[in-house]
Amino acid sequence: METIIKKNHARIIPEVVIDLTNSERFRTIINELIKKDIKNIVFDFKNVKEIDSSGLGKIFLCNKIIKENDGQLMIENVKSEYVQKIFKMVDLNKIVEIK
Amino acid sequence: MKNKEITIEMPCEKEKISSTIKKISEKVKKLDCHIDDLNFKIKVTSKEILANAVEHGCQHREGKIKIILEATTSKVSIKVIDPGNGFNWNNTEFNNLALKEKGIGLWMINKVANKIEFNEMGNKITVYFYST
Repeated sequence: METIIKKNHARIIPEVVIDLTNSERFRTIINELIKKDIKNIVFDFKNVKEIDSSGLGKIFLCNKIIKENDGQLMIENVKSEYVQKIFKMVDLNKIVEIK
Repeated sequence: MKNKEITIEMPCEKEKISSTIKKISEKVKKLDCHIDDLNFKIKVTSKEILANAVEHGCQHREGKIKIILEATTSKVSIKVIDPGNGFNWNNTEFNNLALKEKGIGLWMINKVANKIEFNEMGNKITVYFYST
């Protein structure tokens, strides 16, 4: 997972599959960014082809942590049809801004 | 309407989930079934039940998880048996999506499947998909 920081913005670029093996990294990264007072965060899904419930759970969790710290989470570049269908299934756009 | 049965085994390791799902997807693509979006439904289900089996049913890493796919042209089921002591699905929410870190997996399966069955011990789950 790649993280690019510019002033108080961060762009996180996850790997191809987000699942039980790697989803815990989201929590660690978000907590590190919040500690550094970086609260405007983008998850760039350009590489992501699949996600499971542990990945969705971490998105819900990160959104909660960021909002509690008066920040904003945005998801961009959702290219995979599989991921689009999963996001639609849980109505993620009602909770997180998806561009 | 001929019954087809395919058995796959997976070691009790979360790193093996992805390659096992690929195997399942390849088998599903070859099935002659008339069920809408079956590959997506099976993929969502497999991801969740295998993750659950590894998380809750693999206290001993040397154990194996057994996956059985059964298919006719109008009905497909996926059964997963883990070597663990079972998990208490009675405490799990199936119909309401809690926007929390945990408890989303079974909700997702319930969303794409027609029926979910558990054995009493809680170490065997069977998920059914029917043509409409």
